[in-house]
Amino acid sequence: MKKKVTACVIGSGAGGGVVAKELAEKGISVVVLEAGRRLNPLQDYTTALRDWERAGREDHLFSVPEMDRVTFGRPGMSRPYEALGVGGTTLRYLAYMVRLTPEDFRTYSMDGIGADWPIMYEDLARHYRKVETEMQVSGLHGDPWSLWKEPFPQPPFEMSYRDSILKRGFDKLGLRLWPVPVARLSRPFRGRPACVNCGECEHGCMTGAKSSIDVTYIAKAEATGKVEVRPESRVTRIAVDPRGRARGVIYFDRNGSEHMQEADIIILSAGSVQSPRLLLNSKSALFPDGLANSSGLVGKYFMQHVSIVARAIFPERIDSFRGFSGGLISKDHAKTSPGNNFARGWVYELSSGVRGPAQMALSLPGWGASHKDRMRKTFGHMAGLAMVGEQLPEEKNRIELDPKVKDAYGMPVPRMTLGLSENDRSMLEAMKKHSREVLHSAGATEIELAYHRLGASSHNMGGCRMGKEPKTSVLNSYCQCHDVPNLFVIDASCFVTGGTANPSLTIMAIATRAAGYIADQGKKGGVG
Amino acid sequence: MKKFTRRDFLKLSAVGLAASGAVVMAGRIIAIPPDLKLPDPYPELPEQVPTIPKQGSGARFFNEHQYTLVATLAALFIPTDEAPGATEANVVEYIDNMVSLSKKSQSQYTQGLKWIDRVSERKYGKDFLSLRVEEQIGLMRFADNAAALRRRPVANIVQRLDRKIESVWDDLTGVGEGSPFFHMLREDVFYGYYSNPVSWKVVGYYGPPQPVGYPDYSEPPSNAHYAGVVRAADDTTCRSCHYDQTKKASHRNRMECTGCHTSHFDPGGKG
Repeated sequence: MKKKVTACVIGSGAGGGVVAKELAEKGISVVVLEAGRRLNPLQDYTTALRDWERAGREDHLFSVPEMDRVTFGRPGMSRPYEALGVGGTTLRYLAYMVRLTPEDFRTYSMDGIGADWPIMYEDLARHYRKVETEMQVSGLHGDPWSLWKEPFPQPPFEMSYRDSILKRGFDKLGLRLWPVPVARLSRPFRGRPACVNCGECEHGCMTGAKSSIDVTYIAKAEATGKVEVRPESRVTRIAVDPRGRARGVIYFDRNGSEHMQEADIIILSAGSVQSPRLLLNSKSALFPDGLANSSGLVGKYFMQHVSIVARAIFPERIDSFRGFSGGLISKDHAKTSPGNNFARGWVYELSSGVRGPAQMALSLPGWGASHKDRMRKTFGHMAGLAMVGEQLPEEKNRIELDPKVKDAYGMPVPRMTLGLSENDRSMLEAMKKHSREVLHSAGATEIELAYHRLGASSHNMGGCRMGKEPKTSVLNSYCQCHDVPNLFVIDASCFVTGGTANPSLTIMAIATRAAGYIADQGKKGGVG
Repeated sequence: MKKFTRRDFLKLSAVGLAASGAVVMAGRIIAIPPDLKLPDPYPELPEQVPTIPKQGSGARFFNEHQYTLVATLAALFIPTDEAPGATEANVVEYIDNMVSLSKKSQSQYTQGLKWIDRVSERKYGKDFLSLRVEEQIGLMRFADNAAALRRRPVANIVQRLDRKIESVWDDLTGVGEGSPFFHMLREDVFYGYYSNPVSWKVVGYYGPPQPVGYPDYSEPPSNAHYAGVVRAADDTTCRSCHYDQTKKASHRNRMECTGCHTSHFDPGGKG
């Protein structure tokens, strides 16, 4: 048994890392349990090696095989991208810092689909701002789609040559593009260097120019002296006391010994796949259907974004592996439009397509002289579009426990079931058609669409949605479980709808808001 | 005695299925051409005769036969034409080194290379290295398709049964058990070749992304890069901070880096 602390946070990513730092700064002692290891950017990341593409594959760096297993409730699904390590999936995110729009919180009132959030955009606005400052987001203020006009903490990056090629297509079709806000330093900041535009954010940032949670929030949290991060701690269950309050967290350390960490408040921030799984695995006499699951909705309304990546070959050399693999964004299709046969919409994010030469070689079929020739004609000539579309929440899309498969600790693994609704399908069709048009207009000679792969996304959202009614939701608007007042789920699980924004920034804003609530409640004499 | 062929096997399977009552389905299985081939992704170009390096004395794991076999296969995956191929990039050495570091790869390679020779013996009656180049390429196509056929999606039960029969046949003839090796080898050869500076000139790559990054990312590409004007395509740069495995380099150490990142740092550390 470990010494009791005030707060125990499970997970150190966009949710857990932020909560830990915010609570610590209010004087609350926190233990953070992280399943992955603590990576050392200079030693562990491989982007300066000749064979960086092989050495830096995600399965080498960001996975823990004995706990990574996910099974699927229907055929044709692929495993979701997550990263394990102190900093969570932000270790390999592209650091897009896109806010949800006011409409995203009210899809039911506006369009009669999905559900309304129990909070409005206005409830999050100042927390968005705070996170953008902590993360030193670089960007250009005053984009044509949003109402907020404050400058970003860091100036924007120049437009990449690749983006200028792709922009021709958008210009011809009269679509607007704007630099995407991104958590990379364009100027040095507090000992961290400016970004050199190496573009391999997904392989981990060697220099620390990308604001991942480990070099921002966790570094600050640990500097307070109030936070202890325990890497390689694999949580299996949350224990409850006879009164039905969360008592502590049961986990295995790196040597395989089992521990119980008691805490007054338990914060679950393991992501939309693992958080519902942990609740469902924490069955007890008081909670026979899983912890905090009186609504039966734990794991339900799981969402990802519907997405297509379009890759195009251009006749001229672009050398699009240079620079950040995103850059400009277009939100002209993000809202429901009367001309469409679907509700909601998608955003365009300009992209490099395939980046390194080995990845390119592996993505082209075949081998031999013809393959080599094809490489010479393709490499450096590719650019692409990534589309992020809103998948409507549906109860049947869910995370549940696999009835048969167990992980190395004897706990059932998560089973993911995800399907496309009629609306999602119509949107995907429109994306295919429209992206071809954009790329043709930009001058592409060959276009290849990588279709939506169900499950294969890092944008995992929902599963413990927030709401006003305990019957139709798992959490209240502060991510506090309706059933268990001293248990919070602070990650993308709480999302009610997915919008078209990359989820990290919203997770962090919600975490900031929830941490403020927890601290206030603590002052008033304890949570719950 | 008449040689037992794949077609016979299919017929026999069909008989077995018919006996168990699946007459209609069995009829349809026979109707599927047994020598189903996947189309070549690209129109054929004349293949070059590969040049094979002699085994260096420094092989870490492979014996002489394995070394030459891997080198030969690599040269078929990425042949030498007017531009250097796998041989010039010394891919076999890369693979040898990689394999020597992992017990798992060692058994995969030992088994896989045996499998190549076994398939070759079965199809041509001699080991892979004794084949003519066209035969070697033919055999590699066969191995490639064996794996691809097994992975292809099936739409209905008839196709599923057909694939099952195929894979049982492949296993009986010793092809199936090793076919994933072909794709593993393809992957390793590509990683070996495209991580070698020799190949960067061929495709127009500048070298690893760090530590220099791409200062010219907003400009059109220029050939200056290859001369090393913009970046030194050499992983010895920045050894001071990126490769010091003895010091436990922490975030703080990055501040002490005097190499590549000097210009990007704010020496005062304020901000």
